[in-house]
Amino acid sequence: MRKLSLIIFCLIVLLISCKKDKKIKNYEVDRVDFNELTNEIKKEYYSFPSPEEMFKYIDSFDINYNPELLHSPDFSDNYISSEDKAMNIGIYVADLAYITLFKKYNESVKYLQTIYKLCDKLRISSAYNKNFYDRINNNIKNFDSLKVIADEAYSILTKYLERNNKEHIFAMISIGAFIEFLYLSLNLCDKYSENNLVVKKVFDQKSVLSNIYNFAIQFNKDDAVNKCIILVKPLYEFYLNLPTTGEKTKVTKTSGGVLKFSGGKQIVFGEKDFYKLKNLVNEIRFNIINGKI
Amino acid sequence: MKYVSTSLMVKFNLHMNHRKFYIITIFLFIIRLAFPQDCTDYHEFHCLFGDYTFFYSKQSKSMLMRPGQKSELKMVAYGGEDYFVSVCATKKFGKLRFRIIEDTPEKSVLFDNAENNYEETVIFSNEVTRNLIIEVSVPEATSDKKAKEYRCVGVVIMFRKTQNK
Repeated sequence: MRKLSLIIFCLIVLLISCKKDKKIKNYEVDRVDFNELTNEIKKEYYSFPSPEEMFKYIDSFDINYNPELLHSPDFSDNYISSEDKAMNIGIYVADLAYITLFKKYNESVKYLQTIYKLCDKLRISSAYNKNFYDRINNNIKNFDSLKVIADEAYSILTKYLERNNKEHIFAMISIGAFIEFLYLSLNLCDKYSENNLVVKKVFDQKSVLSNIYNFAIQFNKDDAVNKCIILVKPLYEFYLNLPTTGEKTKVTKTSGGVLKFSGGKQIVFGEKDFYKLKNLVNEIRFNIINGKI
Repeated sequence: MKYVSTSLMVKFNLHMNHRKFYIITIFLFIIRLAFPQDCTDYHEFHCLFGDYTFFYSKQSKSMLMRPGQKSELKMVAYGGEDYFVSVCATKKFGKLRFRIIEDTPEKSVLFDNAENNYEETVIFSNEVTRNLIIEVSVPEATSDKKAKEYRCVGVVIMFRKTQNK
C-alpha cells in the first residue's frame, strides 16, 4: 500500500512539473510578420573575442615571444581595490593567452596560479573548484594538460560570472585583458611600418573596444566599473575619432556558394596615430598594473 | 517479543524513509519552480557546430527569450576570416528567424534566413573587420499561456582564417 502511494505521488509530481508532450504544431511561419514584433521586448547582448582569439587574429607568425613584456605575477599581492584586482586578472588572462600562443606552458603555471589567487581575493574563486587548482599543480610538467587547463581557465571564469550575476566583474576583466593584448601587440611591433600587418590588425581592434566599452557602460552605476570606464575612455575616443574611408558593404556569393561580405568602412591611420595609440595604451596599462585606477 | 519489536522498528524505519523521500521530492520540485532556467551553456549542447576547420568562438552565447521576442547579439567579425553561425532553440518555439545586420547607423541587412527556408546555419567570408548584429526572432505564440514561456535560445559562432583559393 505504501509502495503504491509512493508511486502515485511520484507520478503526480512528474505530471505537474513536466509539460504534456503535445505534437508540435507546424508553425506556418510564412504568415507571421516578424516586423510587427515590438521593439520593447528586444534585448541587446554584447560579445567580443577572447584574448586567445585576439592573439589568433594577430597570428604568431607576425609577432615574437618576449617574456620581458609580461606583467610579473609577483605584483599580484599589491592589489587592494576590486577594480585593481579585476583589471589585473584581465592582464594576467591576456598574458596567459600570449604564453599559450607560443606554447610556453611551463610559464603558464605561475599565471594560472596568480589568476586563481586574485579570483580568490575577489571572492570569485568558486568559479574554479579545488579539482581545477589541483590539476594545475599535478600537471606542472605535462604540457598537453596545461594547454587544456589554460584554455578552460577563461571559459570557466566567464561562465561562472554570467551565471552568478557578476557580469560587472567580467566587464572589468575584459577591459584589463584588452589593454594588455594591445600593449603586447603594440610593443612587439616596435616600429611603425605601412606594410606591417600587425599594425593594421591593432587598428582593427576598434570594433572590439566598441563592444567591450558598450558592454561595460551597462554597469556604469557600479563605482568600480565606472572607474575602469573613465580610465579607458580616452582610448575609446581615440579610436572613435580616427577617420574612415570605404564604400558600402557588398554581399556576394563565392563560386563555392559561400556568402562573402566585402567592402565597408576601414580606418585610415598613419605613423603619428600609431605612436599616439602606443603611448596611450602604455599609460593606461601603467596605471592598471600599478594599482592607480 | 524480539521479533515483534524488530518488525516494529523496520516498519518505523520504512515510515521515516518514506517521509524523507516525500520531503526531498517536494523540496526538489520547489527548487525547480523557484529558480529560472540557466541558459549559460545551452548553445554548446543544442546548436549545430561547424566542421573541424572552424574554431569555437567565445562570442557564442545563449539567451532567455519568449515567443514574439527579438534579441540582438552584437559581435565582432575580423577581416580575413570565415564565420559559421548557427541558432537553436526548443522545437516548441518553431522556426527561428535570424538576420545578420551591419552594426552601423545604416543597419544594412547582410543576411536573412527567412530568404533561405529558415535555415539554422550560415557560413560567410568576411573581408574587412566590422561590427555585426545577429538578430534572432522567435515567432509569436499560439496561445496566451505559451506567450509567457521563456526558454533558451542559443547562438554558436565559429571562425577560421579565410582559405585563399
